Amino acid sequence: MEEQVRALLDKYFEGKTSLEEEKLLMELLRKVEGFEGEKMFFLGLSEFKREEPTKKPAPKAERSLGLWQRVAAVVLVFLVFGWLFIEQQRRMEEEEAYEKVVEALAMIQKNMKKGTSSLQVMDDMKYLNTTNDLFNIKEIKEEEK
Amino acid sequence: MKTFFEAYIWSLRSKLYRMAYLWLKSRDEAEDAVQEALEKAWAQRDQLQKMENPTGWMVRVVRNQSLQKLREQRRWMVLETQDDLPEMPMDAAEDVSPALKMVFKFLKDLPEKQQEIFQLREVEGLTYEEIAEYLEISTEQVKVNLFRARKRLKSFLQEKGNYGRTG
Repeated sequence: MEEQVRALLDKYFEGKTSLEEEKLLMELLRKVEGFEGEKMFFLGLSEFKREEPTKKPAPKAERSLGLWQRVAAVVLVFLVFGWLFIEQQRRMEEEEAYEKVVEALAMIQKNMKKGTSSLQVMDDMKYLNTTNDLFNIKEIKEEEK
Repeated sequence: MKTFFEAYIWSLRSKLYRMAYLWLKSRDEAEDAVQEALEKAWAQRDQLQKMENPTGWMVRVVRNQSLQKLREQRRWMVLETQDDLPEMPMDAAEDVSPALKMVFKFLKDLPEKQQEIFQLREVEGLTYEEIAEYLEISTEQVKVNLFRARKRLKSFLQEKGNYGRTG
C-alpha cells in the first residue's frame, strides 16, 4: 500500500492524476501509516470543503410571479373591473327606467285629474230627468184639471 | 419548478463562499461578499440567463466584491500603521484548525491564479474544463498552473520535513 501511495503522490505532484486517482490517494492516505504531512494537508483541504455559508440571501426571500401568473392576475383585474362596470351600468339603467315610469304615472295622474274636473258639469246632468222629483208635476196637472 | 437563479446561480453559493473565504480570510466578510454578488446577480438575472458563461461572471463579481473589501480593510490598516500594505492575515477571531491553517499558509505564498486553480481542483473537485469555465481561462493554463502549484506543495511539505515520511 505504501508503494502505491508513493506512486500516486509522485503522479499527483506531477499534475498527472485524474480525479478518480486523487480520490483513491485520499482514501489510501487515511489507511496507510506515516505520511503525516500529507495527511494533515489533505485533512485541511477536506475541512476547507466543509466550510459553508450560513446567512440566507435576500434574493431568495423575494419571489416574483411567473409570466402566466402575471397574465392571469391582469386578466382577473380586468374581469373584476369589467363586471363592476357592467353592474353599475345595469343599475343606472334600472334607476333611469324606474324614474321614467314614475314620471309617466305622475303625468297620467295629473291628466286624469284634469279630465275628471272638466267632467264635473256632467254631474249636473243627473238632474235632467228629475223634474218630476223636484216638482210634483202630476199633482199640479191634476189640480189644474 | 426552480428558476434559473435558484437552479444555477444559487447552487454556486458554497463554492463562491469558499473562494471568497480564501481571499478574505474571514467567514463574515466572505459571506457578505457572496451575498452582495448574489444580489447583483438577482438584479441582472434576466441578462445573466442569456450569458454564455454565467459561472465566470459570478466568480468575477465575487472577486470584485472581495477586492473591494480588501481595499477597505487595507486602507484602514495603512492609516493605522503608515506602512506598506500588509499581507491579509487570518482573522484572529476565526476558529481555524491547525490543518486548515496549514492549507492557508501554503496557499498564501502562491500567485493568485495558482491559488484559485488549486482550490477549485483540490477543494471543489472540479475538472480542468470546469475550472477553465469558472476562471475564464484555457484548460492549458489550468493544467500549467495546477502543475506549478503542486510542485510548490511538494517543496512546502519537504520544507516542513514531512514529505513522504512514513515513520
